[in-house]
Amino acid sequence: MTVVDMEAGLEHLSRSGGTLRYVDQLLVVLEPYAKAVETARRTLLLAQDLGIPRISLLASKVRDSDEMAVVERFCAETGVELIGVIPYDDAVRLADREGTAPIDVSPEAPMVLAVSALADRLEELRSTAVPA
Amino acid sequence: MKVAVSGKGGTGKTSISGTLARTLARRGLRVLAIDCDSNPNLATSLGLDEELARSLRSMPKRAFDEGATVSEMLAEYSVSGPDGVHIVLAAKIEQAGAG
Repeated sequence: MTVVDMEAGLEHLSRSGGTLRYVDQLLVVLEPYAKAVETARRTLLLAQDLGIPRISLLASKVRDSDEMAVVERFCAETGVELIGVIPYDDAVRLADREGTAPIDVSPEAPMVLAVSALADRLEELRSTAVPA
Repeated sequence: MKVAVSGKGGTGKTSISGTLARTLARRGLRVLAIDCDSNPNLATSLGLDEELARSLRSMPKRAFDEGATVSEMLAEYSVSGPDGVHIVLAAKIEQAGAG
């Protein structure tokens, strides 16, 4: 399994097919605030033109039901699947402050557990996908 | 399977990518983590110690143009981190790699 952490923003999508041409699954990270929603919207438009086999939204830093409503509205509006919801988690901020990995300092943190659920889903997709 | 994580800066991409790579590796999968940010910090979210993280060099695109294979490039530029995750810096790489 290859996990590619892209550069922030859109450059990797606009460069004539760019880096993303070769991926099987794109996770568009969506934090429920206006500017991140706009970035996700533009990312989806560009990514859909690249012919990436699967594009999904991944909600991140979700704090409450109001923020979840923003995510759900965006998914409904775009018709793109929501593959997972990563809650806001202070454990991530603490790990960043210490320069360590969330999974090492807080293996049971909500964020780490949510990523584990995402991994379940990706493994499912991997086992059902037709190899390229 | 190759999975890319995209989004606005600060949305948690790198923390998610690092945690996802470690989680999959703990389940016994072979995992390659590629940091495509020109200001790379995925190594930290993967739990590499500072010294190892600093020793990472970016893969030059030129080497691919000169015919280096993906496995040759990984042998030279990737580092093995916690849970056996391999990490490589590829700010300008065109190909997401094998696996």
